Amino acid sequence: MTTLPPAARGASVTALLVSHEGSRWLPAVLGGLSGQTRAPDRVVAVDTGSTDESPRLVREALPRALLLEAPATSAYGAAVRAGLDALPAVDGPDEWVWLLHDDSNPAPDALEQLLAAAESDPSADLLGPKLREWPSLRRLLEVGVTVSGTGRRETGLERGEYDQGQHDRTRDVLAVNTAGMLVRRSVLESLGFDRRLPLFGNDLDLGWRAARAGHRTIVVPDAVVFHVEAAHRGVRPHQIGPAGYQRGERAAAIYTLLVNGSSLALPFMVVRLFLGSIVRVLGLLLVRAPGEAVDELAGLVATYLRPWRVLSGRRARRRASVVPAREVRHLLAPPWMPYRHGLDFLSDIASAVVLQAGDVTAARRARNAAPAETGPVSEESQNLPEDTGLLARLVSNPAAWVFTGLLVAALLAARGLVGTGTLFGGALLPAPGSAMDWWHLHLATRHDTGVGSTSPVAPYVLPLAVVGTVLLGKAWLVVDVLFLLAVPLAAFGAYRFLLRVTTSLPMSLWGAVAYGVLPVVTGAVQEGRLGTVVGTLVLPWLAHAALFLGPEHDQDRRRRAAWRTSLWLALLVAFVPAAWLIALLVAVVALAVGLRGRGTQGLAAAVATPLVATLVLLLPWSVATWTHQGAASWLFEAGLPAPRLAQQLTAWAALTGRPGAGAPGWMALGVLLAAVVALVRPDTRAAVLRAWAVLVVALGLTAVLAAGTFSTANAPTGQPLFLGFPLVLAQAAAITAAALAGTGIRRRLSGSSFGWRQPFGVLVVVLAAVAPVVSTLWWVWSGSDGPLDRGRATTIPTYMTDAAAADPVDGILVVQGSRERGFTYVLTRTPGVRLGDDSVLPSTEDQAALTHFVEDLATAPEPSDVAGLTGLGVAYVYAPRPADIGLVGNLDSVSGLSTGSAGRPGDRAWQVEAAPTGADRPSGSDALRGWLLGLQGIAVVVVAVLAAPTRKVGR
Amino acid sequence: MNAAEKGARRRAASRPRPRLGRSAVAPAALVLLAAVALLITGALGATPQPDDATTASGGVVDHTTFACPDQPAGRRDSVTTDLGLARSPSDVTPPSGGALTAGSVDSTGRSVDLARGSLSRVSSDGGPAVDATGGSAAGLFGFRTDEVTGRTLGVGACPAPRARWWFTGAGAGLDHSSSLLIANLDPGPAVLDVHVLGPDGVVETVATDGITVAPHSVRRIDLADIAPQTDDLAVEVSASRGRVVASVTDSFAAQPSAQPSAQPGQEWLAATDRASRTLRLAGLPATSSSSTLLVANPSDLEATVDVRVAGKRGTFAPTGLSTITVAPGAIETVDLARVLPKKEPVALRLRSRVPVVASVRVTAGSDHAYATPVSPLVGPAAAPVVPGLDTTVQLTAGAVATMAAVVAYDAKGTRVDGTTLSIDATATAAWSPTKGAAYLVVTPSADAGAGTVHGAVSYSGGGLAAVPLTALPFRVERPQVAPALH
Repeated sequence: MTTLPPAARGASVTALLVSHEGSRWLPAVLGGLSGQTRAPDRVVAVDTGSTDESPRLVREALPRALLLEAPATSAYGAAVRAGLDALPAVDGPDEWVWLLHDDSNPAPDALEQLLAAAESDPSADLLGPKLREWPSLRRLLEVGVTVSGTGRRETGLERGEYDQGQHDRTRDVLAVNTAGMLVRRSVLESLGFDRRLPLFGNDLDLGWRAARAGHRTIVVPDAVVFHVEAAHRGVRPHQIGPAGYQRGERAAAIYTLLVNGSSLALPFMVVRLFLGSIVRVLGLLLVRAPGEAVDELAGLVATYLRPWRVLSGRRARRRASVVPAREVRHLLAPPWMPYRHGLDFLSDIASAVVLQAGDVTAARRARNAAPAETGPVSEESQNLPEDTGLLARLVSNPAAWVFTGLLVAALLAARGLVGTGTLFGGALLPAPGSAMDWWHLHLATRHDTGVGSTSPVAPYVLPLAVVGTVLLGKAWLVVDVLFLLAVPLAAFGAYRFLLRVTTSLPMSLWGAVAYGVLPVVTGAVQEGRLGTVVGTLVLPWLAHAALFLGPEHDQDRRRRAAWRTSLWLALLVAFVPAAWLIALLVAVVALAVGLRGRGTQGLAAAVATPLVATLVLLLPWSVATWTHQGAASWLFEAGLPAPRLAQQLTAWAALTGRPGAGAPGWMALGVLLAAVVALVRPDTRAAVLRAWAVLVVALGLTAVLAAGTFSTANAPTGQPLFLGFPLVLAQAAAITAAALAGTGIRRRLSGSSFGWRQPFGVLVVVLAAVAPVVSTLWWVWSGSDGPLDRGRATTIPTYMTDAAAADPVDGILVVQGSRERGFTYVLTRTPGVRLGDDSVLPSTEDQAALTHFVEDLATAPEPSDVAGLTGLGVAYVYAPRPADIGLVGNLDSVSGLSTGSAGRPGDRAWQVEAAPTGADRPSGSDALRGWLLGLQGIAVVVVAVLAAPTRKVGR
Repeated sequence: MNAAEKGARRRAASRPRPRLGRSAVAPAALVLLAAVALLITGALGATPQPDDATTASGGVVDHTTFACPDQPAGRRDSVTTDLGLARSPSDVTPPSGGALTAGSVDSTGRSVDLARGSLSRVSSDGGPAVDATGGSAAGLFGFRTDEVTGRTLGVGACPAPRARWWFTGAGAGLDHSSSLLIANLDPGPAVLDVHVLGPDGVVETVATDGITVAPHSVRRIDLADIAPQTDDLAVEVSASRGRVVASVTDSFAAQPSAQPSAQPGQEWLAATDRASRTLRLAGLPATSSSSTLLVANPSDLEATVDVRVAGKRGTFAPTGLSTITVAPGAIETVDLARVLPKKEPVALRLRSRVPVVASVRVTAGSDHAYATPVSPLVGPAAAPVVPGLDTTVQLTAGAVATMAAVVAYDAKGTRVDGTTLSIDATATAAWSPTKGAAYLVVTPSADAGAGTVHGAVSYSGGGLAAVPLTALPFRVERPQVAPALH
């Protein structure tokens, strides 16, 4: 043991340096120790079994220091204990110990300032310096620490805060870091370190116990120590494996809280820490940090599985404490602190997403700007703000003008569809009262519609429910937005996609408008074809996501693109199940082409992932619909089959993409001509051919599907499919081909002379350019002229729907039609069949008994028929106008029915006199559905997490 | 030469080739494929089917219920009630088995044994109400005959319950009085309204709305109680709940001045179910001393009624009869004595801008009968043959000439006479069976292109009566019913 010359009277200071594999920082630390303006009276160095040259460095730098060797397994507390044991006996309260780590370098006046503070504030027993980051030396690490209710170490500092003296106030704190801590030796010896906190959190525990024992801890910002936090950052080779740092920290935090907290709050804390940890684990999983999640969980489990440690720790503290727990509470972090961190966490994620989007934009901008701006850019121009303001940017942006124009056009075209009531008609059913109805429809395992069914609900109900919830539960708003703003929405997606593939603003805008009007020129909007409309909106986003599946992108990007493609494909298939077939064919073609070329590595996985994931994402339906509604339900798009609107698909209609009553077909010819001519241009041919391959796949599938008639179990009359989506896809491919070949076409046409080809090229360009403009004008001019209309969706009297809502057994049998044309009926227990309900209507086989009763009612009703109705849960019979006179006569006369009041003139209503029993309804529910729903929920979350931007994990 | 050089050579060698070389293969193939797909689409595209079916499916009737009018026989009356089970047409195969019961409306009824094709006499007490299921249901009919030999005759069909009944030609005066007999065969109560139209418009009646007829009971309403002192009335019975069998027994003094003490003639007034713009009245006997057309207009608009006569050689506009105007809610009487041809079976066709109901009251001697609206026959129809009287089948064709088979059977179902009547377009033909027949069956031609036929059976010579021919319950057209998606 060596004594350095004392620089101050009274106080005696022993510097206690613990080192472990610290040769990286030790020279600087030893230099700092030697250069102290007030040198410590003694130096004791304890090395815990370093395998590097740490002991040698200490010996060389401090030849007079006492160097002790401790086993490599020693905890920090044990090492300190060993150092203290080597000292002579305590000789008074003014004997201090200055704890130093091998990665903490004190500023030259650190000890002097600490001692000065100790002198001016004699009641302070533990003093801590201000810790700054090493090697940056400018950032603050800690100015005293405390602990929050969730066990988080609270420094009260922002992340990466620079030290500008903003926290320089000597104050009482719960604890100070052991790196640079000046502590009375008597206090340190009496309290000691908890042996169960080998590495982390022992300073917090020490400070907390000190406070309970009546000692004061203050932080002295004038004293500065630079700290690497080697253990915390995991940069030190250590006996705990790298994965152990996090869980060790977490376990220490939980242990510290449980042993030091007040006994009254203990049960609450046990529960809270458990739940909090689970929430954190889920949150970490959501941001794709499974390692951290496991650490979090392991830390919790490690503590909770050994409760006796906590109990014995509490016993020891109870003996030592003299101050009640509530008197140290003011040193703890305020209770709202964890929630603030939760908010910070969420905003971090949001900013990560925004940053990623910003990165993409910046990358695109850079790519576009690259040919124009070559050469170094001056420092000033880089730092200049890019533009003056949002408004100026919008005014100067042609895209903003185009989209504003489309929005105005959409409002003009919707002139006939605004007002009160619900949007429905054609293939579109009215939206339900609230998005909650969709949630209920999606989550229910058994549906009361009709005589009751266990059919899986159509997959599009889930996205509608989600969007409806976002729109404050207003289900009608979802339908309104989709149908009335279909054109601008579709155009926006197409613009984004085309900007990516063509890098030409004019061509992107042209293609965006040509694509945007597809929902209306195909007639999909006018006929209420929900599937085609949503399919048109989703398609560009799917295509955009699929662009990154190619081998030219890095591995992480492709993997995320595969999952993102899965999400978009699942959304598309939810509305247009036949799109899965198209995706399969496109994938096969892509693989076939890719196998011939280079860079096929991972292509198979990239294209197979979305196809398989889609099946899982649409789970209860994708499997169960085979047995309930039949295989053909995989071909019908969202919405009613609406056979009265259907017409035979002619070659002309398929060519021009007019499956319904849309715009005249010739308006599409300009685009089609351009798509064919696009094949001639050699330099863009490779990309154009890809678009053409998609076009051929779409038309081929159209040819196959148009030839057959298909039926589902609840609509057994075979009907041709509405092939809106495949034809939209073919049009989209044609537009993409034309846009690809049209990039830079002006320069090409004017730059070289082709003889007869030049005027021909100009003609094609003019025709193609005019086509979307003509279509847009047609759309605005004709408005929304079609079966789609806005009106009152419910004609069933309210007293009936109220009764049915109160008890589902009080069903309402709605009979329409006439003796000549045949009758149709619906047994409903809601104000009517709503969007999504049609998919869970029971099969005609299941309703055969009801059909028979309705036949009898329309023919020659007997009282037994009415009794049959009660067994199937029918309380009311309702015939909206024009009610068939024969049926009305029958129902008026049959015994067991009494006339009820109907809502409108011409409507007729009857009430079944006997109370409905519903006893004959088929019972049972699909037990598997609950599990499949759970699986779907997990799949959606997992795929969303996997598709999310990679979080930059920063420490 | 290494591989790279080889490749370079190959590329260099291929460059001078014409531009429509390999590079054009893929585009051309794709365009070709697209065109082929379009052509296939156009050639094979499926045509949509209308979701509302137009075909109604036929089924054999397996339950028939009806009731005969429940009125005790008068002192000099002989009342008979016959049930018959007509032979089924070739395209109907009635099921075997089945049960037939007959008895008063308020009882469960006794089982009746009735072989197919035969006629069986049952007790006339309390109706009877008849209920048949299974093999006994299809083709079942019943008639009640009230006869004072040589003087008066009333023949009435036993109708099935329904909700609406129109009787045109009832009366509530001194020389002409009618009673409404309403039977409820169902297990639930029936609630009905009775409306009466008189010569001066709708008759203000008392307590005729919401008449409740208890289950399995009969209610008799004398029209004199609700619309006194009116000779000519049209009566509507409409059930707002349940269904009933309604009959009107009508007694009319054909020669009030000549023989004040003479017993008035009795007749069962046949009903029609609703007012119509076109009415065909059939059952005018060839021999009559007077005939009066009664037209009632239940609508709110004035009716202008155009009358045509379907005679032996076709339909003509009768001379001396202009368009009849009927005020809203009123009943109009028109004397047809000078209008109709003598000694010729005729039928009338009425056309009006608004729906009307009508009948013709015919008198001969001291008895009377009514020619009531009939509908074109959609299947075999049956009528009794009253022994000792002239039974005449009168059939009128629609716009197309047609044929109808008329066969007379005895009570055991043995064919005793028959013919196939050829009827000219819009003309009326008549046929009478020989003696010994108990009932006759009229079967319209089922040939494709055959026209419609409608008609009635009239009885004369010692009493006057007529019953319209209505198709027997063999087949029931079940409309197509399907669950809808919305």
